Amino acid sequence: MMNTNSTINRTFSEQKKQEVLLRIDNLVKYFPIRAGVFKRIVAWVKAVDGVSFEVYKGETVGLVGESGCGKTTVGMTLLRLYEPTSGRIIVDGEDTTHYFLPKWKAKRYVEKVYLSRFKNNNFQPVDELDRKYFEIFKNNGEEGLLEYLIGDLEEKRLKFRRDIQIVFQDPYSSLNPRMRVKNILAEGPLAHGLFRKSEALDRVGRALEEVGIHPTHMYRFPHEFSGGQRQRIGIARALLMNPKLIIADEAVAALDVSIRSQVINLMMDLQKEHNLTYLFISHDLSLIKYISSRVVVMYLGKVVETAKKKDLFEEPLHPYTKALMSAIPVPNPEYKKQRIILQGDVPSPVNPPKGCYFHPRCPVAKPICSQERPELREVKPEHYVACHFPGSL
Amino acid sequence: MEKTPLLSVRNLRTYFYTEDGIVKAVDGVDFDVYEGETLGIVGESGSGKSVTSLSIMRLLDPKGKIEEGSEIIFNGKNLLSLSEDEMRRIRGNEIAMIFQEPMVALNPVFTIGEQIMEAILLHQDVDRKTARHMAIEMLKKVGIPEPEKRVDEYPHELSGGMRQRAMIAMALSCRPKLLIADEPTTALDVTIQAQILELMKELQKEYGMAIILITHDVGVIAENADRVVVMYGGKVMESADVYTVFKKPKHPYTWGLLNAIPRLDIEQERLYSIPGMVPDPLHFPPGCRFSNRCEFKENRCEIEMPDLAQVEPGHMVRCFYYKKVENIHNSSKVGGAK
Repeated sequence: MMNTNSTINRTFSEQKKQEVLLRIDNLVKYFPIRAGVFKRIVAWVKAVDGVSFEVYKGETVGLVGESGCGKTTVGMTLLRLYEPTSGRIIVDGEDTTHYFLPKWKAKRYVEKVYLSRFKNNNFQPVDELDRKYFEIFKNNGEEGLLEYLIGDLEEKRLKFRRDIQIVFQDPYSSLNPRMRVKNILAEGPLAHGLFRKSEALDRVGRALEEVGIHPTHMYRFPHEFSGGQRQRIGIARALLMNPKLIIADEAVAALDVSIRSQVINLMMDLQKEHNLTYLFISHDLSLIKYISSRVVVMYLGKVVETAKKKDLFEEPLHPYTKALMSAIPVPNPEYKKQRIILQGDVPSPVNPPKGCYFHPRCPVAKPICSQERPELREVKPEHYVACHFPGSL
Repeated sequence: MEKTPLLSVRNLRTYFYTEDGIVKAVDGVDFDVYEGETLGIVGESGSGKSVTSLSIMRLLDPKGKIEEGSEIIFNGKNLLSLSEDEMRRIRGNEIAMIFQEPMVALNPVFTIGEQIMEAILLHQDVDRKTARHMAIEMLKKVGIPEPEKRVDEYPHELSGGMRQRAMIAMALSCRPKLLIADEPTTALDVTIQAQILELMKELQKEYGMAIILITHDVGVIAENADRVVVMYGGKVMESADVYTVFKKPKHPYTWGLLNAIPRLDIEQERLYSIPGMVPDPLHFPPGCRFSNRCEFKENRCEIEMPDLAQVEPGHMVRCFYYKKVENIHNSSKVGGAK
């Protein structure tokens, strides 16, 4: 997290553009629906259905969508609180997808995803990761690559757990009510050996101070704090692990308006200070606009549009993004906006519609939309849209 | 504004007598609602906005008591002096209410149709067959597809948006003069929220009813209310027509609230933060209830509670130093949209 060489700050803005911290590659997560005496699987909930996006170092990516669009499942799956059905999760240039599998499954994963392709004589690397792993394969053979990817799995898991932290939505259920704040905060870093027990009070105190809570309050229990303060404690807990990426899943949704802006500003200040990277999951497009540098819009388990914040808000190209924006109430009675009221409800992710998932509600759907599913494609520089007729609404 | 209001709330005080002390949830609230208009009540949790609406309906928890001297005049009658029987004839008939969470407000063991018919049969002199027919008509009116089929479905068979539509059908089945909507769209997604708010507007036009729209979302207020009441700590802090409140707020709390929200319509460098916490209703600060979070306060604010005073026709503000907020409007661009 700390920049080892602070003199390179001048070139940092350029660097930031290139360095990919997190890459999600065609992530799929299906949940089985079981029924009957034998609990047979009768259907699948396609919560996340082929999601890809990148998060660069030091930026904030806003992942936005309505309930049921799979945004939380993306967060949970990338944290490996759910195992992905398929797809890859690449953190800091390493494939981490298999980290939390038993060793034999991890081996099977590496064989399937990399070795089987590498052994083919006509193998062509498709991305940076392929090149890197193929190099290892060439130099050290199959055993060498396996050792690189699945050796010391326990160590890799611990590192992963340190590198990615989450701040949850509900500050009431995400702090253990029986533990004092100092123990809640020190538990993780002590388990990971980030600091010694003798240092713990000092470090916890400093972390609390940083999030605007008096250090002497570390002896209190969570119920003695308000919702906003608890959320600050949750942020301090994440910070203490020196994470590379913080996932904030609706982190301010439960807070009152006047408290919400305090916590948002705090998170932005901390980002500047510690060069943090955020994946901000929210249903609130206004908040996403304020906090993000890039935005990913999801609908029914798929990414429908992704672009830089400015491009997305100035020129939304997917009809869903546009409708979503027009549905946000603006606190300005004189503000004239195009009103697009979508008909109907979000369809069930068990039986998503044929063709484009959005076509039953889309005001500009054409016959092809119910037949063919549009792929996410780059319509303008760094502006990706999954629509046959982008910009038509 | 010279017509008589449909509903007048005067010096409403609702206190809850708890083991920890007296919670003054609503402590001197005044406002009027005129026929056919939408009055928005906006406030954060603990501001007393929901208790105000429950007090009007007289649906308070037994611990809550509406204090002597409070007046709720509806159509010339003081609701607080009515007997429970008389009140029951008004509730659901002349004044109806819809709630935030339709799954909680609807009874899970009765069909939608039975629940709508219950209200119709209670307040109107019709037989079951007609009532059922009316229920289907209502469901059609609120935009529920296949109403003949849906009328026999249970609440759990409907989606959140459809349930809220069913709630509205039930509330409007007796053509109330006043509809109280307490956070009607908070549990819904924005695209569904837009549908429901649009529906409420259409029905309001058709029926000519007045609406009290209670919400924490100032955006919803800006787009749907004609006049606005801003509540904080059980008191009205500011009230005016919607343009005045959003363009020229004069209370420091209103001003802070409007600058604390991320917005789609303007670019924001940094959000304003109202310092401190939403106060616990057992321990309001002495003097003005906003004084411990107010950046404009002076010594007087910590001793004395300002009155809700008219500063311009139709614009009421509870602040000694509202001119300070006015000066900000004049000196910088913050506070409203460009």
